[in-house]
Amino acid sequence: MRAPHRSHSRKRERGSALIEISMSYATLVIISLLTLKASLNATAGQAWTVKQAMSDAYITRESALASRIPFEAITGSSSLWPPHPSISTSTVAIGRLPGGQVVNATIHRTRIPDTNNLPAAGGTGTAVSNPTGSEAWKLQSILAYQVGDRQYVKSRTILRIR
Amino acid sequence: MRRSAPRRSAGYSLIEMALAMALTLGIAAAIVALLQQQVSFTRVLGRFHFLREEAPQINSLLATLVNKADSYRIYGSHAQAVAATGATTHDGRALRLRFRNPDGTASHAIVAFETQDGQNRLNFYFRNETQTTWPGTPSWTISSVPTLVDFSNDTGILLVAMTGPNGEQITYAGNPQ
Repeated sequence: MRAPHRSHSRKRERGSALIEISMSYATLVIISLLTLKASLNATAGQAWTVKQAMSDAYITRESALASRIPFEAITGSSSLWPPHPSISTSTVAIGRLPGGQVVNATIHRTRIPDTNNLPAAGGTGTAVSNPTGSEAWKLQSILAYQVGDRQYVKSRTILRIR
Repeated sequence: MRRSAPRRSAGYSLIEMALAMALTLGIAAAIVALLQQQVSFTRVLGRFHFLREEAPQINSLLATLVNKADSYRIYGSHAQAVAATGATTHDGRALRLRFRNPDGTASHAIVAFETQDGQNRLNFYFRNETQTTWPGTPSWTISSVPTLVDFSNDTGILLVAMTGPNGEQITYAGNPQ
């Protein structure tokens, strides 16, 4: 009378093997999903770091340019920084990713006059408030770029006086 | 009277074996795919090494050097920078810096991108106020990772464009005092 019992036990063993294999598959799927998620997270973090470095480098260039450019070029008709509220907008390449893919960003520039500038220089100053006719401009550059689906902005303002 | 168990049930059938092998192969293939994914991921991470770590370090060092200099000139090669001839505003491979000392004397340095022993190197040469000739060997090597370092001053500011081993590129700006 033991034979039927053994047969029943073997059936259960065979069934358990199937469950074990299914569990292995499920475990593998979970592990692969977790590693995929970790990889995506790490890659996204890396893209963020790299684009931050590139945008930092570009905005440093912008500051250096604003500090160095001759005053005549700032206030001239073809100035890179048009008088506020006009804004010049252009797409610039801030770097290249491995493989040579260009990373683009948008630069917005404008210049804001000091209120004590004489009217000819965009201000409301008078010969009394500004007897020397000094002229001050805030050169503002705003760099907008995208990492993933988020947009970031960096700005630098340089004061130029003469 | 006891009946012995059927002989057939002692082993596995061909179908069972085939199914087991197929499932085992499936698991093995999934593990290999996982491994490949990790390898590709590591490779992708490695390709960003230059932009992530090397370029910012080079820039930090160059920015410190250039900020301490009171003037700079760009030359097409290390030899031209040594001879101080053929200054240019673009396609520069060497940057000659002048440092004014508190006692009025001047020290000089050259940062040159050059090929030595078949390897690209960004080298730093230093000549102090008492020396009349430049050292024949670099004082130190800043980095041997970039495949190209381009100095230019077309826009009135010093630009240092660095290209990495995978075609990646980043441009830094530097201004002396």
